[in-house]
Amino acid sequence: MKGKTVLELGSGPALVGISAAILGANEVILSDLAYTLPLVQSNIHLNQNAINDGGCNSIKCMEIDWFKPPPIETLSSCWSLSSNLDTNVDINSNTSTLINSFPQVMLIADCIWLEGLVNPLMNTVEQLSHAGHTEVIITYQRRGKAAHDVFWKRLRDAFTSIEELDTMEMCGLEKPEFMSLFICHR
Amino acid sequence: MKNILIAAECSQLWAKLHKIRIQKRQEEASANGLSHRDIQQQIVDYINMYMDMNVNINSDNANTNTNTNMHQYSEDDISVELYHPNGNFVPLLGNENNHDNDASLDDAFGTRIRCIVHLTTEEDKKNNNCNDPSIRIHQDGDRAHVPLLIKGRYFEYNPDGMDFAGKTLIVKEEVNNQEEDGTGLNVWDGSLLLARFLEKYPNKVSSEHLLLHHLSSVLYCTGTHLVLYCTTSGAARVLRFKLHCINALDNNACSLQRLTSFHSSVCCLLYTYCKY
Repeated sequence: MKGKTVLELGSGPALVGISAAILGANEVILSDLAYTLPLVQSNIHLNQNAINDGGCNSIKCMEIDWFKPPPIETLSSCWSLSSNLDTNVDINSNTSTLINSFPQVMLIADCIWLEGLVNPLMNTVEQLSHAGHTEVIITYQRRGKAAHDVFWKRLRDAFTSIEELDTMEMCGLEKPEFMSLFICHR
Repeated sequence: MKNILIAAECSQLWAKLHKIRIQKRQEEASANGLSHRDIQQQIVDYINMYMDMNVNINSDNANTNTNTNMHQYSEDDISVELYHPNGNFVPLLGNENNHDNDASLDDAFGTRIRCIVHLTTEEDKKNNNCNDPSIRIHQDGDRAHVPLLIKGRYFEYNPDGMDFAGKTLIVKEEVNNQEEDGTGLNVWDGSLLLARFLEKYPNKVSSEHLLLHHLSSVLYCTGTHLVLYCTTSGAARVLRFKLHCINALDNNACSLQRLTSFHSSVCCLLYTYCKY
């Protein structure tokens, strides 16, 4: 059995993506603006042993600017062949290769605070995720009405299923009231 | 107007909800009850009282004079957004025409109201920013350059290493970065929440974990095998799974104490069908 392919958007220092690698994700791509990538590389290096122990086959970082999201083909070239062979989609379909270019899991942590960034972020989410293939997990803090309203509208437009989890009830993980954790499917 | 209870979020001051009881003050008693501005003023008073208490506590603990300024907020320093039952945020001040008397406020919001309180800091004033973080953005094109004003941290973070899934997770940050947008090199609470969530549910990113669907199950570990006894339907069955990473299981949160008591190195998660 293999772990999943994971793309983190707005990874910053990459705490979440590196955590996913340690927990056994098969391949992880960490993405953010270029100025963060040296810190990301450094943090990957610090955790390399734990990542190897977790069974992660590949962890990379790349620049993704939400204002200029790359075509999915760019992401496709970052996944290794092993991930592309591990597919649950219909291999007879002509689109199977393309579908495997999309991550199985997309992680977005605390990336919504400015109204002006919500639309570019959600455009990137839509471009780099695939209905029926990608599960999008988002943590979010409410920090203002305007950003919240835009975020909610785009979230409802983008996904057919949005589930807000009660982490305390599910697994004893306490969080502040103003923080939310969503699992979304297109 | 009846007395109302405000459950206030203010991420700049406190991590958990604060409950503020808004009561009609004797000197303000009138036929019309509390106005929106009265409510705003009482929230301001509460925050100033909170600030005073924290300054005093810090001074007592340090047993010295701290450099903390006794900052007093005015009405103009604070904006309040009320959470309307229909899911929208409504400013407390500014569009009273939409709820132009206290009776309509009661009708629309009830007597237990959730709200978000935004503060204008001294730094904001210097930068000529207003107190609504949604529009407190200096934009250059579509790019924002104002650092995120979130103080404190809810989840534990240690840049020198944190226990994570039985391993040590080391993630450094650069906290004083003011170049670029100043936010991408920090570890934010949402990251810590998501990492801890994945630690509880590693199957979200890895296929090498099992979810137990039988709440009456009993399990234990033998070497690299997990043995699961399912006692449903009155008949015991033994299922044997070879696992690649017992260690990962070791560190999942335990929600089913009865099961975990059989083997200290295995924990089980509560699996709620209707919510998961």
